[in-house]
Amino acid sequence: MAKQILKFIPVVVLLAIIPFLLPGGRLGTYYLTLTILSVSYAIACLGLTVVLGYSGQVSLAQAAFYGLGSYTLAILTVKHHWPFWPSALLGIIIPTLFGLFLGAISLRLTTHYLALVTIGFQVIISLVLNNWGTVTGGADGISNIPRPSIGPLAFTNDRAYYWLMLVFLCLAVYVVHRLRHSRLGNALLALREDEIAASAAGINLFWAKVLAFSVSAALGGLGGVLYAAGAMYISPNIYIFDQSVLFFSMTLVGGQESIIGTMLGAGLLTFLPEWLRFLKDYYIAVYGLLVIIVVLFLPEGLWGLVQRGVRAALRLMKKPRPTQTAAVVETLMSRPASVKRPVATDQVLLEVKDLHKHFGGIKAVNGVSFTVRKGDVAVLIGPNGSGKTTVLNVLSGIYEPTAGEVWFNGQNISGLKPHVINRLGIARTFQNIRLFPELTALENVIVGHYPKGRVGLAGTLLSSPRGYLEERIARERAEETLHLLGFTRIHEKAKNLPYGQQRIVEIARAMVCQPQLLLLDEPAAGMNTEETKELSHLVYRLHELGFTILLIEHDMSFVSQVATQAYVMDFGSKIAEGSVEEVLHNPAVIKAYLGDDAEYDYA
Amino acid sequence: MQVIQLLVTGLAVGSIYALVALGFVLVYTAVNVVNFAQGDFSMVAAFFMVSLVVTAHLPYALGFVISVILAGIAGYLFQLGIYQPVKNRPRNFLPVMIATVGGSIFLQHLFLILYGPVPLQLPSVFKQQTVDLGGVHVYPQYLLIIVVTAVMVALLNWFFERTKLGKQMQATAQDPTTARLMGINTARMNALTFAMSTALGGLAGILVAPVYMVTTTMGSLIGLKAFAASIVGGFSSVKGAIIGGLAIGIIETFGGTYISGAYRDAFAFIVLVLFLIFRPYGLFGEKVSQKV
Amino acid sequence: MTMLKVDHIESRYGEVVGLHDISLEVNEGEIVALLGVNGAGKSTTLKTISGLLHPTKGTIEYLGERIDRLAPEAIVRKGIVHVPEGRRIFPGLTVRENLLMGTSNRKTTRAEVERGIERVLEIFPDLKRLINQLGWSLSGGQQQMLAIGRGLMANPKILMLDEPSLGLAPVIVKQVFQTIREINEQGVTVLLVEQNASMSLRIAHRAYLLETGRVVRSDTAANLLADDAVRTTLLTAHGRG
Repeated sequence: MAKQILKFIPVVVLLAIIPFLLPGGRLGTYYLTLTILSVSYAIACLGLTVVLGYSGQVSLAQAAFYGLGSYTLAILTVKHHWPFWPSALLGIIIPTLFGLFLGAISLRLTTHYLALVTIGFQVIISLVLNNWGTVTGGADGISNIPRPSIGPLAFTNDRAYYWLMLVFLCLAVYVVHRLRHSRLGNALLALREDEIAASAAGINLFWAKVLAFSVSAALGGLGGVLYAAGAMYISPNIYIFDQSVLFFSMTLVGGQESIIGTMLGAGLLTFLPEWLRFLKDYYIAVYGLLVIIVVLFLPEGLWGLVQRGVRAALRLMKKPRPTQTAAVVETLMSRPASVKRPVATDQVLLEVKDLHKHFGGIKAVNGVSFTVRKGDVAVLIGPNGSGKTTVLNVLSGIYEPTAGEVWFNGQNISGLKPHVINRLGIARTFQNIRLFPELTALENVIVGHYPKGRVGLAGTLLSSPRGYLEERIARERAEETLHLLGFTRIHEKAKNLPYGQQRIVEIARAMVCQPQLLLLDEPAAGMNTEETKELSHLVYRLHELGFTILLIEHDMSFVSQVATQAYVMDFGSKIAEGSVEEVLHNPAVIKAYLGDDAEYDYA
Repeated sequence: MQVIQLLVTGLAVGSIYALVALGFVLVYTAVNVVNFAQGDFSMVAAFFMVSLVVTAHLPYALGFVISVILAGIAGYLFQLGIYQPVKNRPRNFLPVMIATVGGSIFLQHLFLILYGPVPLQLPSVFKQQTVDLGGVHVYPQYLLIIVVTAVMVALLNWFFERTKLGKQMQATAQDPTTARLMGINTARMNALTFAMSTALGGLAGILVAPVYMVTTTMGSLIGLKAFAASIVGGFSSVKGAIIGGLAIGIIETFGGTYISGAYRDAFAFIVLVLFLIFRPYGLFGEKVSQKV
Repeated sequence: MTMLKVDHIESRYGEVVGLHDISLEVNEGEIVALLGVNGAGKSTTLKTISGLLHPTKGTIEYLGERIDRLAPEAIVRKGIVHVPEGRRIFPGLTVRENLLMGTSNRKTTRAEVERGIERVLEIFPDLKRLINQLGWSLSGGQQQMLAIGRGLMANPKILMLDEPSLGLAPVIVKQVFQTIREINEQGVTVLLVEQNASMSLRIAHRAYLLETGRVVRSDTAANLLADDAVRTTLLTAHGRG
């Protein structure tokens, strides 16, 4: 972890010597002012890196947080004669509180709803700054904002103040970087990639959103505080919706997911108008086009483009390393079969009572009851469209049942949220594989370990040893789990893995927390004969390890190899139960599958 | 008397929001994206109208029709250049949203270059300032806005409920794959949806231009409030968009008069936040679970 | 006369191969069944014929003309109508409007539409009382009838039905199969994809048995029905999608 942060040192050094590189005279002073401006922008944009780049939530209110920071500082120092540093601290706290509020109401909101709420917030804040004259100075704004000092050190001249800002920029970079590489950061990425899968992996979506918004607001506030003290004069026309759009564009153009990219974008779009001055009025239209072009052609931003170029160059220079041959390790797959499979106990782990789930006029599940004992490999089979997946979705909390109850370990879990059910010990995989596509295989499984962690934001940012320990444990557990499943390409992005391998990673993500019950939704779907055989072997071994499993599967040879108990569904109801052998000879089941119906007259 | 005056004003302002909100809803139900440049097409059409009627001296009605059609064509080109290239991205909400935000910036500044920063004036078709309706003085333009909107809504209702093309557009919105299997050219339906939505926005812009000034930014606030109105209405129904738009217009007008004129522009968003907290699916919205 | 000729096609979903090598023919007036367990490639075959997928290898001919590069809306205009799996009723349209959508493959007069609707209501009298109800409020069986009816509105030369018995109660399944036979007797050629092998074999003339994206057997329905080996395959074979 520490090593990764070293890569920022050249950037910091470069930024620190900028004042010496500028031309002298008035032009130099002007450029230094712009540089100060762009650093405050960069800090605000780093907030967007968290909320937009990491958690994938749209916020078009960053200028409002920036403004809240500026005005808090200005009002307290100028009108109430507070000292600088306590005012600055409040200048961060107040926007953070508003960020908490926005995050909290965004619980039920996604995509455009959320975007609009942030816009609404932005518009309201601009109106207040403009109209609440007695406090904010109205359209005239507030002037004579003091510059800070620390003991004998006064940061009154621009150069000194610029270096002080750099210290805060480093702090912001540290916060964002540390967050990204922590357990919480992984949760934010998971939220961005797939909310349903994140929730099923035990992540509380509500807190993840609140976290993203409040960190983002805090950084926006910090940027605003530094801007106000830098410019020494503020007025409401800086903190308008257009400025939020500008922050948004800076983050996108540079590279929404990259810290360096974001800083690059902030600097670039601050200086671009100067460079494009010869275009006069055309400048902003060019800037609009630039945003469109970046979005259409460079989804990773300019920095992403640079990185791709660098990587390609490195590849040309370096000879390709020979691909690693799979090490001979004892994985679950290669271990010799044990003689005895664990026998199911009498303890009932899961009990489904008269479950119903209706969608409009369709009764997808219509009164299903069954139990899974500890140590079972239970299978739910039935023709296509018989409601099996719906049952699984209700069990894992993705759907609320229309009627009926689900009991797990003696507790009624019907209607609980997916992350709560996960934490109680039920983990699942999905029929159409829901990995986090942009994360590596290892990171996917680390996200699965999220519920075991305890360290929150403060611990993460203060680099508490416990936080590092948890991260190491999660990493080790994830590596072990993947290893156990015989999976080697752990640093490959999930989206680049072949289908069969993705399935293995998804199972690893579900089992890394040692759930008491593993739900597998058609694990063999989309696999070839060889992969299916391996998979049935794998499920068998999981059972040996002591996992209780409930699975849906169509492949009867798969089912008969692994299952100890079978339930058959047809048109939303259970039609048979027993061992796999028994149910496959049950006339009702044969009829459901083959439609045998001798007495029907076809004449 | 003032109450009736305000009610007329509120309904007129609300009609404008309703027209733009209808555009949002049409596009959203059809392709599940929000066009953040929707409001800017009001501005686009208003400028066209100024060029055609003030500069080129075309008859008012003819200029009106041509401007609305041009706004529709602009919408068609907009979806071609901005929506089509990003629509197949995974999780396309964010790329589409950003592209349309970029499109909005671009449109505003393109028109800044074309028409300059000085606000232009579009005269009303009526000569007299006010009409007297049994003691109540109202702007005739407001009455025109209300009447044209009502006619437009009736027309749209007829189109979607009574014509095969309207039903095909609905079918495309509900299940594009099956629509294709039925022989419906879904790409054409989507392009038509965009064109209709921007034409509606353009209509709103031309109607409201004589009341406000014609500026490059006139569309953005109308767009945002109309967006709020469509969410208040539930974001998926024509009825919701209209009632949401009218409600926001009336609340804003009364709030601006009796509570605070300075915060007139805030009411739409305050109503929106209250709705999102207490009735997150709007007046007529339905809660739809995501299919796994 | 051979209407539809599918010649050694391969189809993919992204990198996953759905069909490896499928060849089949459908003659005028026939009911041809495609059987196989879940994931054998039955639905993928229909999707490739109707143009939702384009084959990566091989050709598809309809009345001697290549159609494997055409868009779905062009193929349905030729009279090859695909009633998709899961019924896919337009939920926000009424039954009548759903039926109207079935005529989207050609220009129609009002009278023609009314005649078509009447014909569908003759075949599915249950739909008569539901005519102004919205699609989502229908039960599974009613939706299936509507889906087939909507397909008939297109005046199909070949009607391709994907799992019409899916998720339906047995008594409804019987009705559906009986109707398929009636429709066939009225002169519509049918290509039927089914999990419900017995029922299909009883109404079909010929059938193809699919396994992992390949045709493993083709024969007359009567021969397949008499063969116990077929039953075993369908009940216990490997399935993958």
